[in-house]
Amino acid sequence: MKYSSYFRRLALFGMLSIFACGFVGCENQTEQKDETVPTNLEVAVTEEAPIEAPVSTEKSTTGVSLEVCNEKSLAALIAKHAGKVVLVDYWATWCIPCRKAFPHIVELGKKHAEDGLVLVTVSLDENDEDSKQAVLKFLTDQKSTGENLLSEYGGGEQSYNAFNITGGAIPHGKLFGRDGKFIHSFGFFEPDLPYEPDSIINEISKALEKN
Amino acid sequence: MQGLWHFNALIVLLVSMETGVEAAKFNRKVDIGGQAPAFDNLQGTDLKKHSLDDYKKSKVLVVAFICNHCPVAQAYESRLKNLVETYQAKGVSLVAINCSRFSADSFEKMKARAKKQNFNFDYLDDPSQTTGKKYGATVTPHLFVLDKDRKIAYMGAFDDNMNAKKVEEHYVIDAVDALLAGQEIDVTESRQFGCALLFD
Repeated sequence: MKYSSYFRRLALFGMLSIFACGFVGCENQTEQKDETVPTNLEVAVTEEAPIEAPVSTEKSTTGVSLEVCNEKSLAALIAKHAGKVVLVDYWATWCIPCRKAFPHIVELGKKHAEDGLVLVTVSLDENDEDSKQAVLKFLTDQKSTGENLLSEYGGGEQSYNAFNITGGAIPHGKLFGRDGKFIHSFGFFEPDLPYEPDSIINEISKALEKN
Repeated sequence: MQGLWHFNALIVLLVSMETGVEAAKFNRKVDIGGQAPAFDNLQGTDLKKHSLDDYKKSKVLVVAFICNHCPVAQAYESRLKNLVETYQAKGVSLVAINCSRFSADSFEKMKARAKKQNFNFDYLDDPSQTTGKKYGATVTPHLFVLDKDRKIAYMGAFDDNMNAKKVEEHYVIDAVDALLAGQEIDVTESRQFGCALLFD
């Protein structure tokens, strides 16, 4: 059962904290992190992240561009926007709920751009020419003029691992604060907040208020 | 007081270690080595009712959460069919369960899909989503490989790429092969990926 592993962790945590309390006295308990964390993305932004040259860039005539990325170049991009709040939206052309949400996300990005919000879209479509063209067309139709990326790992497991997409399900969002640190993920599974306009807007507003 | 805490924590630690069940990385309901949740009387596209027990003669049972509408699940249909074709003589069965509730995933549409795609496995409807919830299914496709005792031996993605030409890791096939050969499974869990299953 799932619970046993939970309790085992809890017990270990408990033992450790009791020992710690015994020796140094109890202060704040450490915040519990996303269990499925092993991502570089959420950590990398706080470390040194050299900005890498884009692997390739496609541009449509309307100024909408698409760049191939991985978790490192994404982290670098987030770091580049230090001082701003960054919302990363993971989607794919085949994902119906993603397509439905997309116009609202783009609108959100534009509406709060002045307040310091940067929208980064990451497509988890295949990393091949046909798919890139389809992605670019969709982005152009949506007038998504911000930072548009496509995972170099394509539509497979590696993408979902590299970007730590909870439950392996898109749409998925990740919010980073002005300090570049990961705040929350939005999705359909614990420990995400729901991928819904209310929760996304709410968290963005809170993040924007912080300087 | 602190001594009591120490004692309690120790008991919890010992009890939890004894179960010997691995922690799941990508599933919040079930674990590797745990008993697979039963399902009863799910309507199949063959118009018969099916339960987990129906497959008790199978040495290995693959449970696949799929649906009609999802392009990722669709991309795997032929791989599921191939698995059945290759392994049914070796005592392996596959059962597909749909707990997605979009209109494209209705029972009528399921019947049409099973017919059009020539499914060679049972395709069951889980309208209450109970079975999907019990298994902790998060997306379609989401796979579970069960051993002869119906313990979960592998769970996660079918393989590592939606694009069949780019597949490098054949997780489900490897798990089935290992079980049939009585060997240990190298990778018992992977991150499933695909279309989100929305539960009520």
